[in-house]
Amino acid sequence: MKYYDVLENLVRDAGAEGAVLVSVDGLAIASVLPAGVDEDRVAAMGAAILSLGERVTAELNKGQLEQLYIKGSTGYVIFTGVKDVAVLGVLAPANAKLGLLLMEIQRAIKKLETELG
Amino acid sequence: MELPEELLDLINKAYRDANLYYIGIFIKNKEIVSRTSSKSDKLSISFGRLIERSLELNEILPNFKEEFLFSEGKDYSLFVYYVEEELSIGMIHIGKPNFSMLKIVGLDLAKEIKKYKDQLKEIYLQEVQTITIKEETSEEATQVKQEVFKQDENRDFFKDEINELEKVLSFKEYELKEDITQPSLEDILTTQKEEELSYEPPPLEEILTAKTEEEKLEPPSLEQIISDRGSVSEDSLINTEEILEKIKNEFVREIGPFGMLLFKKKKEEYFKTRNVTKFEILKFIQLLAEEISVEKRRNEFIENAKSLLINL
Repeated sequence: MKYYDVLENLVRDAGAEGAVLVSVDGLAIASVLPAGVDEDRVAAMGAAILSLGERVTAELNKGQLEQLYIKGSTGYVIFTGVKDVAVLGVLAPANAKLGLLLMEIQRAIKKLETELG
Repeated sequence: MELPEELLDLINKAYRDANLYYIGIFIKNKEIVSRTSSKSDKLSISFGRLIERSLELNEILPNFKEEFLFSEGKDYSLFVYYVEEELSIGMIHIGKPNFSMLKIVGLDLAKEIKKYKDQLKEIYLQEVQTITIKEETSEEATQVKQEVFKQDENRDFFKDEINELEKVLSFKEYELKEDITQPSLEDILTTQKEEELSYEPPPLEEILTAKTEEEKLEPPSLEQIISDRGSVSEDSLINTEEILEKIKNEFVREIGPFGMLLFKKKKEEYFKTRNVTKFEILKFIQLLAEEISVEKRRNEFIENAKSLLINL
């Protein structure tokens, strides 16, 4: 429930469409997603994309990849690592204020890190 | 088919002007041409997979239509510009992250690259066909040289596979000998009685001839086995679907629930043009293993999946 609250606040404060917290193996921990979006598939996709991004940065010897975002014609999908144990995925509309969104995500990450211990 | 000089110039120019560490043009997940300071082949492979997976977002979020992907660290930025559905530009910049610069470079290059999209797709198709032919008839394969595809890597890949196949096949020989259904006590007694009743020792000459013939029997070479693999494997493929299902379970266990979708997709793609033979399943296991990023888990998967084949 505590994770759900963090996600709900994030969606509300940042003007996002949805958010999902995923374990590194791709299983959803909590989510606030719009109707019609499959929680499990978003979760699995988030973990997979971040993991592949990490593989690229591992080739560069540049440490761990923290955040990756994809812009589409209908909006943004932003994946951020939470410690080494989870991935936070956020869906935002195309007109979202990216700066504000990224700041709110960082705030939510801090809360989640505390919750995850 | 050769890449147009103009296209190579464009890539070189972007590489120099933006002081990039890597730039590559991709069709689906295949790097068609690149320029990089990296010595590792794995970079383009991992980059290709990242692009492929990001394109799958459209399946979850209808009409998402990717425009770009961006990621940055303290001293690097990673950028993908999606030119068209299957055509993308991947870039890596080492140094202070600079999103705007990469976006402009991507945008400019995309405009120019669109002119060459048909040629790039043709090269991609040629390469895919070449690889398919090579897998089917290793010696007669057409040698189309493109710097993009790492032939040496393929050779190493087959070397490992052949070694693994050798192990599996030799193990199977023992398995088959032992795999005789255990007769019941009644059967043993009846057979024993019949044998006792009908037993007549063969003449010494016969025993000696049989022994010589036995000595002549040599196990087939690995090459023979591989060349016959179509027919041999078809005979031995009794429960391939069951085995594939078990491999899927192993894969999902290592990669998570997304593995189900990925397995289905990879299976459809891989066995579209190939027979479901033991040899092909072995190669399919390797293909799946490449999707597992953690080495320990990848090795675990390969080991477990191959042990399933031994039971075939």
